[in-house]
Amino acid sequence: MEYVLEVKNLSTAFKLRSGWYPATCDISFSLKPNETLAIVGESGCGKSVTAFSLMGLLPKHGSRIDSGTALFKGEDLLTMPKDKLRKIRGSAMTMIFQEPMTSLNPVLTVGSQIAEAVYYHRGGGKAAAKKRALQLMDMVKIPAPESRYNDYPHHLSGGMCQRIMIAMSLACEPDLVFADEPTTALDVTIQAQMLYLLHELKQKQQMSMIFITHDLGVVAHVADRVAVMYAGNIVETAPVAELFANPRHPYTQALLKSIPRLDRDNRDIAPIQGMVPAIDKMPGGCRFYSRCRKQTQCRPDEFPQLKALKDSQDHLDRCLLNE
Amino acid sequence: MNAMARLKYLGTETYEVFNRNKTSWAGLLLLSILLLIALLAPILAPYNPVEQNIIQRLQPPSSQFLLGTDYYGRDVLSRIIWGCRVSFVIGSISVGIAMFFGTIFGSLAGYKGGYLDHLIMGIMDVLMSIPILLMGLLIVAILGPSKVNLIIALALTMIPRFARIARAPTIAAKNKVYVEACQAMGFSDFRILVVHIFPNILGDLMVMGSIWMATAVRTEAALSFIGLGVNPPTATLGGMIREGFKDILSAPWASLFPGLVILLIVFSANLLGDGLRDALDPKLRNEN
Amino acid sequence: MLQYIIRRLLLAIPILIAVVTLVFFVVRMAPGDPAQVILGDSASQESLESMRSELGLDRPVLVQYGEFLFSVLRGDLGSSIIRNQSINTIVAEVMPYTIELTIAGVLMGVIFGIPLGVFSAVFRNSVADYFTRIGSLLGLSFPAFYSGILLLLAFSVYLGWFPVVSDPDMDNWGERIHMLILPAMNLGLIMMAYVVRSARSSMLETLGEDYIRTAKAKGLPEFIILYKHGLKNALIPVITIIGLYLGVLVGNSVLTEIVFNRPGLGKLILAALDERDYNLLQGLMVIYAFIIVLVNLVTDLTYGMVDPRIRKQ
Repeated sequence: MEYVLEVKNLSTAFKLRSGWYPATCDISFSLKPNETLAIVGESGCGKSVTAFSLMGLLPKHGSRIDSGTALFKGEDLLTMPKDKLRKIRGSAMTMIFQEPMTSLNPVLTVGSQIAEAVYYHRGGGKAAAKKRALQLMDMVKIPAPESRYNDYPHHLSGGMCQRIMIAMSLACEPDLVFADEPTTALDVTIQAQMLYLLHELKQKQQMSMIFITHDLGVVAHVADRVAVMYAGNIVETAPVAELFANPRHPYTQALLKSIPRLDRDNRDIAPIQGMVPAIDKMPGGCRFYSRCRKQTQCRPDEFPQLKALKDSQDHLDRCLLNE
Repeated sequence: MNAMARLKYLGTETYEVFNRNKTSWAGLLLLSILLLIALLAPILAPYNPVEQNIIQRLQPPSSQFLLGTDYYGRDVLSRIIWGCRVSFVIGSISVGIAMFFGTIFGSLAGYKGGYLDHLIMGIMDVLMSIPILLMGLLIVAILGPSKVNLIIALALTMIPRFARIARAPTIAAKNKVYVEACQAMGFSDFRILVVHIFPNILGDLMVMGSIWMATAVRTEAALSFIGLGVNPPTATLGGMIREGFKDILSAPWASLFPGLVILLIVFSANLLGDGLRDALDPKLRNEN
Repeated sequence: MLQYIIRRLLLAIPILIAVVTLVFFVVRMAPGDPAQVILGDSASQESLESMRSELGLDRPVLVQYGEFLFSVLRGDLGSSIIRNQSINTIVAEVMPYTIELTIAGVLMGVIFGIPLGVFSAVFRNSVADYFTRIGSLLGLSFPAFYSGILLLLAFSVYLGWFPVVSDPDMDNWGERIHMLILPAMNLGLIMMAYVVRSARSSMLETLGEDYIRTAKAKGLPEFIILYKHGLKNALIPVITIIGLYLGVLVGNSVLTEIVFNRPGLGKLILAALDERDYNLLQGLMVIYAFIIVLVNLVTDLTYGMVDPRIRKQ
């Protein structure tokens, strides 16, 4: 298999009081083994929704997958029987969440929560599961795992809880790990530790990662490839160095311009004017049109497709002016 | 904002809150109908509720007496209508008094904190250790059965509950920055409490007011059933069940219909309170 | 944990003392002279006075209060003036009936209420959920004496499954349970209404928590998520509900005893009121208050045992 994950034209919709509205549209990307893809975008652009729809974690009421395929090691996640998806979820394909303190069950010990993942997917009895859990706790650099095993989440700091989450996600040697803003809720000093840990683990474990974040700084650190999302669409995909050096989509360009940097004269940083359109007021054409600085050269009614640039097969964007 | 504008705002807010939840409308509607019946008792009741007529005692429902007659020959329907009146009067006034005093005590305790807080809430805790019905029993037994005493008894059982309800939002509001600002500007405590803190409690009060009204009516009926309600021959719903109990097999209508009406009043008040609570609870907003 | 227990125990004591005080003085305010009740209306002034001093009623109030307080602390509720018996004895006679009724009612409410509440939460907004919600609201709107009458009519009179007059023979267990069922149902159905609502809202809130999402992300089987992760957390608030509605439960059990003509503390209270037996009344009030404070204490402690976060405090 060349790709661990191949997503094509994934579209989801949400239900509001006034009816169903498309949320994410036409999401397509591919992920190779051992590759880290970063999905970047503002809050509400659909990055988490994409991850949840692939994992089968969208809420039952009020959301649905409208179309698309998602081949995980050759099998379509979106059409496989629920039971099969459940078996993959948590073992071969796992997820780390944003708020580690609330994402752990407060009435169960942290150790048992890790062991649980082992027990229900691999079987083998409680003792073996506990042994594996301790091993994992060691792997994520939790000091004195034997005594920490019986602690409850409220005994641990945010950073520790996140390590527990990471341990849980690695329990069955996954092929793909989703990391949904894993460092956003942590102190900046802990962030660096966490990113380094994830990097190390990825090397050792040989797994692919989809890293969701709104922080371009983090992206520069962890990603091999980047997908930039805006208002439910992927607007640009490229290898990380290429994206920072040569952004082609006006949104990506504006995004990079709006961040202060140490190595640059920051007098020209500019916020992006306007606001993301509401889900029930999405325009039919390019969704960035109303805020795009190249507006005058463009037309509002046509919806651009994600296409490779002429000079680079690896670099795709969704812009009428770049076709 | 001046007073008129603020009232209007409150009015629209209230309307919107009601609209979010159908249950509250249903409850309000049912309760209003029953209230209306009670208010219009002098007009609606076909017969005099206390006039005895031994000849026609214990008659089953007929075209003449729509719900039958009781042991003393009185029209059950008329007695029910007048009994509703008693229930509503006692229920609403006692809740009103309890709400008034309870809110004062509770918000005072929450706002001032410290010694006063411990003292007031300690007293409230003690009062709450005595079950509602027993407290009612005790007080009526001491003061004697009359409308006023029943109101006092019920109000006393509910004051601590309202105090508790008023206290928590007061503490939360007190710690907000804008209250500190008001204090810094030299506003009087009274003004702060009434103008700034009270609106935070209003929603909870409306919910609890409805729910406790339900309890008050139910408790009044229970006390009347036990024999500690308003004295006969005044018609009370609970009293009617008490009198009709002995003939339950031969003339069930004398006790079953009044009971049904008690149930309806309590149920509609609960519907209203429940609907309001769901409408006001941010966590449950997504229930549709 | 031990600290927590001790703190709660210490808090309970002043409340108990305050309740005893309240009851004592309130009962003293009641009209009626016990001496007169015993001797009758035609008794002479002298005999009344001598009876009063015999009963110890002519001593200063504070002395009487002190005596009462100390006797309560020793576990002695005093003696009934009218019946001329130790209150402890009177109460002990009927206590078993009240206890078995209350336990049966609470058990019924909890055993049927929790699964129904959970079911309602899981199948939220379905038709069954809707009926459960309306039904439980209706259930707790019933005046307990009315539901008792209805149950009596339905099951004892028309169906004849249970005797109308309850005269439990202490030794025959089968008969005893048979007589217990209907009154227990009366308490149980209303209790169930409260439990269903509490379980439902608690479960709904729990199911929306982040750690449930994590459990789903781990690919755990559905029922494990529901029971191990969901229910364990959701049940915590339900424990407090039982404590909260204890007051209502007590009231309902008194009414149930009246309607079903069962012996118990409730009927005893009425008798005390009727007979103007204020000593008995005050003793009974103390018992009830004591039970409530005790149950609240136990629920608080259970809460501490079940929720590890509380123990930390």
